[in-house]
Amino acid sequence: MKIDERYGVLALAGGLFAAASGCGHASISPQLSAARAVMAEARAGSAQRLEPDEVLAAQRTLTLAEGQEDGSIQEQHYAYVAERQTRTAMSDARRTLIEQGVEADQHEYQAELERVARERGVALGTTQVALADRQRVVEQQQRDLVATDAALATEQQARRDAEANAAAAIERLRLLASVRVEATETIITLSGEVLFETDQSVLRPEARERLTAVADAMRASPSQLGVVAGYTDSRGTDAHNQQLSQARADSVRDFLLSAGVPADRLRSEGRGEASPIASNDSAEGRANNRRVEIILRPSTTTVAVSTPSTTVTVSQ
Amino acid sequence: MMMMIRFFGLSALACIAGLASGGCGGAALPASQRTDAVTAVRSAREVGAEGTPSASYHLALADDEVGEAEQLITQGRMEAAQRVLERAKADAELAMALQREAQVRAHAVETHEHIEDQRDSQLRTDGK
Repeated sequence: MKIDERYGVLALAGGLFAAASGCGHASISPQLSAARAVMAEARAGSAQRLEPDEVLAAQRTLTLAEGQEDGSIQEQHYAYVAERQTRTAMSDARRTLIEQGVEADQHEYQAELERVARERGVALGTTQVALADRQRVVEQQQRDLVATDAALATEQQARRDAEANAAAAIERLRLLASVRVEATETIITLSGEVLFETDQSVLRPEARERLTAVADAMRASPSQLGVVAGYTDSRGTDAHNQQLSQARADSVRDFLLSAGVPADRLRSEGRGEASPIASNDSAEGRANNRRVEIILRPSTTTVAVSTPSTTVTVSQ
Repeated sequence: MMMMIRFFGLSALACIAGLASGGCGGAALPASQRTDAVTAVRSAREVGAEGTPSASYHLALADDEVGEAEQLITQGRMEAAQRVLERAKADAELAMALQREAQVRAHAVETHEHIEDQRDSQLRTDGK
């Protein structure tokens, strides 16, 4: 059965029912009822606002249907078309709403991304500033380190040079005096016979060469302190020997000071006949005991004057 | 006369109108009407209306209506054919609208999921 024929049969059945019941008019078609309901839904919803032209077209078709005879084929036809047109408008409106929602979501997300990017940019900027500050500190530390290394190298080289000079001065001194190098000290021993006349404390002219060499060695080792210790043999009184040994030590010290050794690095002590290095029973032994010792020690080491091994010996 | 129409429906009216004008079927069908309906059906099919149940239903109705209109035209029942073609066009346009709505809805879901994925990814990145 075809569609139009179905409408015809429906109309015919309606007419027969109306005749049998004595009613003089037919009721509206189900299509018209459905079209009106859908139209009401469209007007209540978003279609009226978003698709007004489509709703208006559908309304015109619906009005055309309503202008037809109740239950007629024309009424059913126009109502059918109106209902489809209205639903099309509603579908288009829903689609527009969805598209607007998607667009809003995308805008919101884009704004969110921009906000995050800004926040990250700020954080990144702060980090970069801190990093640059840190980099500057590191660079300064590196420069300081290089300078320190250079200064250390210079200092080490100066120390090596000084040590070499001191060693060279000591070696030269070995030609003129007895030099004994021990773990913590260097002992220069000058015979008393060479430095002084018998029982005198005035330096002999030829003593100056030796003592100048001692002064050179001391100047070459500026970090060392020196003690000039005078000794005698056992002849004579203790008091005389003490006085003589002190006077001779003072004479040597004074010469060394005059030769450029700083006063704060040098002191003198008279030790009399103490600490003999040989027997006083023989002339040779007594000659060895008459001596001046110059004991050199690093400035950090306390000079133990009484130590037997710290001696520059000068003959009486 | 109106009662007769009510009783016998559109076919009877068309025949009466046709008799009055000298033949059953009435005036010739404007070519544009058939073209409009067929074009609407083709457009609905092109947007993929067959892939969505609601759209597919109305596309099938439109197809049937175009076929029926062809038969009515063959029978010379032009007024009936005209009405059926109008309904075919309305169904095809509704099918197309429903299909487009379904496509936009699917796209919206994809977009939403994509955005949520991006947000999750963003949160993971921020957390590190």
